[in-house]
Amino acid sequence: MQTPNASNCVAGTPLVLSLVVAVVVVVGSAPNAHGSGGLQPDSAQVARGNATFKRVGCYQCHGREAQGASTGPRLGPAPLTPEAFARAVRTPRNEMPPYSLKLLSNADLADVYAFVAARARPHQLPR
Amino acid sequence: MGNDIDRRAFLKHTAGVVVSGAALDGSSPAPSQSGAPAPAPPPDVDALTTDRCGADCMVDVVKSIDLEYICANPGSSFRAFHESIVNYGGNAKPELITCLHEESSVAMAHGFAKIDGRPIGVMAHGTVGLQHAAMAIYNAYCDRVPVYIIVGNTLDATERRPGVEWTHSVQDASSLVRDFSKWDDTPISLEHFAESAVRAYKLAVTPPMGPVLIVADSALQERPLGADFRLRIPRLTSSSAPQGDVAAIDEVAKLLVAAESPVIVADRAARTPAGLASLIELAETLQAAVIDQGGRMNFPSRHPLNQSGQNRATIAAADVILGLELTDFWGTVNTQRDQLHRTTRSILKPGAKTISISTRDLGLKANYQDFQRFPELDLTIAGDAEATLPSLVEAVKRLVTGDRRSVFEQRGQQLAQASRNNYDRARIDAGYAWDASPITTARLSTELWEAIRNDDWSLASYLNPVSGWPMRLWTFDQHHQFIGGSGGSGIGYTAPASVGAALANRKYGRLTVTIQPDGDLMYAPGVLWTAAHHRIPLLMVMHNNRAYHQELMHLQRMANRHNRGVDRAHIGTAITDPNIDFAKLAQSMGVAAEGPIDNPADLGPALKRAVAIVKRGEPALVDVVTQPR
Repeated sequence: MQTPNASNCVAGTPLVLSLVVAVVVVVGSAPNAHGSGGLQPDSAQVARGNATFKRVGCYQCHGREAQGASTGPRLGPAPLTPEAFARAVRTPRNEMPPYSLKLLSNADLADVYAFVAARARPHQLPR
Repeated sequence: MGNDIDRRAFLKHTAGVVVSGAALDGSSPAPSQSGAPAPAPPPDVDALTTDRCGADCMVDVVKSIDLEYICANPGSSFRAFHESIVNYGGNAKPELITCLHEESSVAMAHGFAKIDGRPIGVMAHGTVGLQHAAMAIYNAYCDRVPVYIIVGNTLDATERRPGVEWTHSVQDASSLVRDFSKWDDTPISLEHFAESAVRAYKLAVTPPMGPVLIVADSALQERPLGADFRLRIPRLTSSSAPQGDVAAIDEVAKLLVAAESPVIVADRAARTPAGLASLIELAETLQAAVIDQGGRMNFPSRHPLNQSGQNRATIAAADVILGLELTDFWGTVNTQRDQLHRTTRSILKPGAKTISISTRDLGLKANYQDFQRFPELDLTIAGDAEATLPSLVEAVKRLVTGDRRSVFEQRGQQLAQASRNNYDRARIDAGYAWDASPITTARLSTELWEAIRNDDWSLASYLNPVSGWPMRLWTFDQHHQFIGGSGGSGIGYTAPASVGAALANRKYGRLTVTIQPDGDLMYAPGVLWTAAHHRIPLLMVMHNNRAYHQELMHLQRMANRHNRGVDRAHIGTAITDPNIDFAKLAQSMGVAAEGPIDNPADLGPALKRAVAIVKRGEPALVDVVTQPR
């Protein structure tokens, strides 16, 4: 889980770039990302992402299904671009607690991205 | 016997009020000041009884100011007053409400006043009871809500019984809460009590409102009185609320009428239904955006001009911002980023004008910092917003020309479309994770709305713990349908305040509901017994996320900031292992209850069953296992 020397580069560009690479690799297999849909989700990766999403506490602000709350926006099923998602996690410009590599590896983050991208479409409320 | 003589001497010199013949309504001439306790018995007779006592007069006083209820956990320092309420006073107006904690007593009075508009009473020990009550008094103070508190004490050291009466006595009882109460007094005679009690009520209900305290000395309460003793009680004349200066109101009207994108932001503005109506009239006259910050039920949730769902963007686009009784004007027009290094940023458009109408500056104290950061404003009016609004509406109407009216109409159409879009977006957002377990707060709010929407309902809980869903999804358009939050964010408010609100709603036959955070209820769950005992109809729907979740998120923030991870953030914040069975807790105190419900399909039917119970005049609880927010 821990990446050596990662804590020194929390806000560093190299970290973000490496993360983006990891997430981009994942996003091709994530369903519904940016409306692209077509590809089947990697269920194992989604399951790993679900576990990580819970383990590192993403759900505390965003809800257990990434559905969003007043404490954090909805993350899926159509997430931000991989680049924006990585920036938001590593170097948030808002109130979000930052996740350094020491806390969340790029592989873990890629799994989380797959999980949020695989969330279900909303139920339609009756009028 | 020596003590008896000392006691009489003390009473003669300190309590001396009196009299024969003065009417309780204060219509007769003032009584003499000579003091006339009950006739002293012959030296060899031990007088053991009296048919009248000072506390009877105190009951006459609280009847004269029309306190409907007195909430109390019993205490020996006000035993005579307690006895006089239930016997001499007939336990009616005020009726005694049995509470199991003084914090519950005050918070019940807090919730009651926010529905009814008038305070009810609280009795407490001047020492340990007031210490228990302190948090709730702070909430009421921050929320500018009147609560009328009578505390017992035994000031005369030579009169105290050995032991507990000493530990329950104090030189200056109210000093404990003086930093966060509006006024207090320690009367030393019954006439003094009458004057100060009436003054306290008057001050409590004059904006800015707040909690007040009167110390009822035990010697005054237990003082024997002659059968012909009459206490003159001053007539209560309520003050009109302070209104803004006429010239300043005209200036505000000019700015609003000339503005291209005016925004009205309201927090504790609508104290009564009249305030709600006035704000609607002002907004519609201007076709101006309104942001309701939720301190009171200020503006209908589905009104086309309500832009609360996009408050930051609306404020950022505004050229004139009118704040009505804002708790935090600075925080309304600035953001602060809670990261390792805190930074702030104004969201105001360059040149935007800021205006405040508020009584906030009229009631500030120095020690407790509820007054928030100092806002730099263009125009401030010290006056009650609700009382000032009618004059402002008229001033605006006088200035509106035909040209401006067409600009307003166009603006109103744009705002109405934005409001519709916002509502549609909310309904879509609520549908995400619809079948999730734990149950989403959006689904909980939707199911609850379906269960109550056809009744005359009132929501007594605040919105933050459930992400504001009720205000996004329900139709709030009457003043009693929402009462805002605690004021001081002191946990333990919601449950007793909801019971108090339900007590106030009972005489109107309203269906009171509350979405009850689990951690809040556990501060003083005995208020469930109070609801059952007094047949107070309340539907309590548990928002049982099994944590002090706000604090859990703070722990998470610190853990991430320090690169340590959140693995242990649950320590000291989670309420698990064991999970609390709220249905059993409620049932043990005579409240019908079911749960825990974690299957969302079970929620709607459970709520319907609970509503049926509440409509019979009883409290009911549904325990729902929920997502964090």
